Amino acid sequence: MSSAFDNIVVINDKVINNRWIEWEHPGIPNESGIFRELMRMLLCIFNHCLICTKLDGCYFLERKMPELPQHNRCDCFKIERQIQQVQNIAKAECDIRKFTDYIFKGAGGKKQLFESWGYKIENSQWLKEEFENQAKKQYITGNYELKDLDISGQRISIPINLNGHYFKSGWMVYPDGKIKNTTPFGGWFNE
Amino acid sequence: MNKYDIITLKNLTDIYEQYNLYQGAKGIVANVGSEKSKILFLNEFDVGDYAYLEIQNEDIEIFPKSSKTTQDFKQFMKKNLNGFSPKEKGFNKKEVDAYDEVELLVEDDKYSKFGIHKGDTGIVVDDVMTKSHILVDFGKIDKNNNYSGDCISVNLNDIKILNKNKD
Repeated sequence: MSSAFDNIVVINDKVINNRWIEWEHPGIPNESGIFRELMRMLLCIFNHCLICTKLDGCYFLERKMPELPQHNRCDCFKIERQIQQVQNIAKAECDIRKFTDYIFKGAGGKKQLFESWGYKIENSQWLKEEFENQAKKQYITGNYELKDLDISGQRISIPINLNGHYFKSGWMVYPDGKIKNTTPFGGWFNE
Repeated sequence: MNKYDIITLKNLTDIYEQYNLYQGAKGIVANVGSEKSKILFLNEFDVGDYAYLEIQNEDIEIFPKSSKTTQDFKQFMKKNLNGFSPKEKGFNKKEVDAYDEVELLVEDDKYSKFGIHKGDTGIVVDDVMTKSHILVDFGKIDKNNNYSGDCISVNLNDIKILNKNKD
């Protein structure tokens, strides 16, 4: 059974309300499936706000959520979600091609970095799973930062630790607690 | 088959391919005919893009009906489709795929505010676009491990493909 205290956490000696919410755009069904998928696409065609339709169904910490309202006459609202629901449903996805077809193909100078840490293309499956495990844990504990929000969706930055190497990774927030990796390496933390 | 039924494209013929339709494309019946029906197809790979075409009834499959959601959906369609005048057209052609390497062709504030400039190269993040905008990772690390760039949405008209990713 959940209680109001489930959302209370202590971070850096401060008591913080870690309440979760779900972004709601009117008219889009809550249940995942073809109807929700079609409604999103139809609302885009019928010139509803593209940003708001992308945000619909996405879960955020209330203290780390996109600005609401997003624009004049924005009908979006937020619904409280229990932390257990978020923990049960949250899922992190990282396409293995982020490593096989991106990092280890040498684009952006990131191959040398990962190789200097001892990783090779053969480690792609392990890296994919490690990123997914770490990102999911960080997301459900609220350890993420909001990044850019536009018609592609809300990006967030999540810290990853590979053998003592700390860096930011980029993720996109999707409905129903899903986050999907956009870039394995998105910059350094100031140490 | 009824108006506002949800359908999928069952048979992808050469004619439909010319309109950039794909197997399994989802759509809504806008007008029912005895042999052909007018279908509003929704492009899953470019959200906001649509095709509006006459399709042979035998080439489409009706999505299984459910109850309340179907009714809500039909109400929504009745309300919105009446005020919508779609052009008869196919989908936009899909030219860019995930992991293609691209180059930014323009200098524009909407990109330079993220530190991205004309001539910068990046990797396409995902197969799915929104209103012909694609997410590109322009992030780079130099030989001193300094990071620059960002992962941003870019208009398809503002980039060119340098290298196609071959699976």
